[in-house]
Amino acid sequence: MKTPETLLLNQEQIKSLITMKEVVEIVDRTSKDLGVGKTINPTKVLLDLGETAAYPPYSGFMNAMPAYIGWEDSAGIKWAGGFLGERKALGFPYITAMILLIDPKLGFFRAAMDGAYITNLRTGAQTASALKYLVNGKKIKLGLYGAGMQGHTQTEAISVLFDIEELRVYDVNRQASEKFAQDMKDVVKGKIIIADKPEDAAQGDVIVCVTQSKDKFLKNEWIKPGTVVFPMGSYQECDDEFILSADKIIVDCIGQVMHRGALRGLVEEKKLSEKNITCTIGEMAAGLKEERIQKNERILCLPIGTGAMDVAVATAVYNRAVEKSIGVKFAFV
Amino acid sequence: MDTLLAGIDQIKKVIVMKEAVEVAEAVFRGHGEGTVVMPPKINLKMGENGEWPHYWGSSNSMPAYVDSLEAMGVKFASGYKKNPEKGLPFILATIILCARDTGYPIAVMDGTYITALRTGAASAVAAKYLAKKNPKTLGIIGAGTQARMNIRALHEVFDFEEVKITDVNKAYALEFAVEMNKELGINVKAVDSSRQAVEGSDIIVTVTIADEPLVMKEWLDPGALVLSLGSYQELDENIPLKADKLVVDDWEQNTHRGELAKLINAGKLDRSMLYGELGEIVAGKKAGRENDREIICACLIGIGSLDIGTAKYVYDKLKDKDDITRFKFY
Repeated sequence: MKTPETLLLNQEQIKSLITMKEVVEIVDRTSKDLGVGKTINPTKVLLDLGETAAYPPYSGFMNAMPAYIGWEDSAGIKWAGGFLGERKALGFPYITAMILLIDPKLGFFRAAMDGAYITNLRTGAQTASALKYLVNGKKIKLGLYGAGMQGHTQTEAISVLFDIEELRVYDVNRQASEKFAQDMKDVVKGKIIIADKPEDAAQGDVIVCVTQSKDKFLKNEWIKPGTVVFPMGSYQECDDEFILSADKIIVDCIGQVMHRGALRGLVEEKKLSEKNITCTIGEMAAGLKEERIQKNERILCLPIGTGAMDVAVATAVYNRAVEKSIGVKFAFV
Repeated sequence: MDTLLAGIDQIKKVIVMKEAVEVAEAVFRGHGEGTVVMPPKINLKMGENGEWPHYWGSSNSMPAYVDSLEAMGVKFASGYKKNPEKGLPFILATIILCARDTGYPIAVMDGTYITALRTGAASAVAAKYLAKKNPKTLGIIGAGTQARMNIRALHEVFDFEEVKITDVNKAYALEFAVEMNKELGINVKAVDSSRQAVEGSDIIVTVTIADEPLVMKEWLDPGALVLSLGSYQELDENIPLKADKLVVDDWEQNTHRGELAKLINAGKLDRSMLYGELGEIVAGKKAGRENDREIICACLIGIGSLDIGTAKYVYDKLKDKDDITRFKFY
């Protein structure tokens, strides 16, 4: 048997091969698979290059995120990270990512592709997919913190499954909010309101945070009963009081949320543990758990991001590229 | 900016074993000096032992940063137990190399050859510090690709009078002997048993996918160095437990897989029984071999820093060439 060549796909090609609607469906399907143990997603491993570590001094990190996807019968890894400093100076976006796919039966190297676009799409899709099991009905009011790239993709993904009746957006940079309002006017059914003060955006059925904040800006007292909150940033966006008083904490991957993102600090202080996690999104998607929000409840939902979603979306992109003969091939072996 | 692509043929042209040994030594020194960052590898099981999804395979994701080579990246390496019987390679690997300060993917390259190369090179570095002076006899158990890389690497460091090779499949051992004899011009002979390969050898290398003891403690002469390179258990447990010095490439990773994992899980071995990590010895923080009678056991599970360091060395040699393929992922 001759070793097959590897397909290479760049960001532009990937954009032409997949839509947000498809990504939402793939993420939802993969969530179900995770819930019933038909997708394997080991806890990602972090290479700290100065994001929090004292050495080395590159203000960045990389994560290795491998997965096997049962329903697609595919395996691979996303290698992704974020860098301030030099990367910012070169004008690149914060996130850098590559995805490699292999044939899970024999290990052949099937594809190498940009992973940043897929990351952005699937991160939005994860919120949308989780909301499907958390809110009642198809209409929502949304509060959004962070009007950048992730703010856009979160909104687009949510709009695939829901009618957004109202969207309040807050960004430290008001111009970013204004651009967002312009860009999203056809995606959001209702009105887009630019919030002048952070607390003004904390209204609605759902609050999504996609910021680089480390200063716990989202205050407990702003969050009303009946709200689902998604702190999607890598750091600390919610104050501890809210996290500790939320009625339910729902996550994508229990192992991961203990080490990264909103819960990390409280886990390190031993104020929170795995016991405080209500269930996973996968368990809800698979119908094993029913945790839809009640009027008097506040839910904290943390889809911190699994390699499984990236590999699943990348596999769909790869399959379509093969079908359409898009991309160039290279013989690595 | 774009990404350099390097296949196995391009890689083979720009690095020889002598260089791989030098790179490996620099990487180990970096470990000892604290200038390598290497989280434990993670394993994605795809039915490694036949369980669902039944593919008899698993993949390791191995990220690392090596300061001395300005290298940062990840190796994604898979092992498929049933591939060899289909005439396919057991190990398949790919490396992504990134700029350390921006994360930009500077290269995607085959990792299969680099894995083989650095595994041999790691043995040579270990033997340089842990074998007795002027070792004359080398015994190798398992006559596959890794065995070839090991003999090539050790040959860079020592002049052997005799190399003994054995394999469960005698034909492989015979083939190995003829091939290596011709390539290296040294006396390589196939022997019938592990015992014959071990007895009287100054350095013993196990490179099999066996999960049973192939080397017994009582077969070892004083002064022997045993190098265990497999992902499973290949030695009589008395060798790691009772050797005068037990050395590993990385303690943390040896707790998960390989020669020592079972012993650690069974509570028979703990870190207090470890003499040191190879990096500490190369960096001069701990002595290597101190006399000609010590029996030393070194378990080299394979560490991602060697792959990433070696890949960066290869990249540096390829990056200014005209006839190299590049691709712009973003």
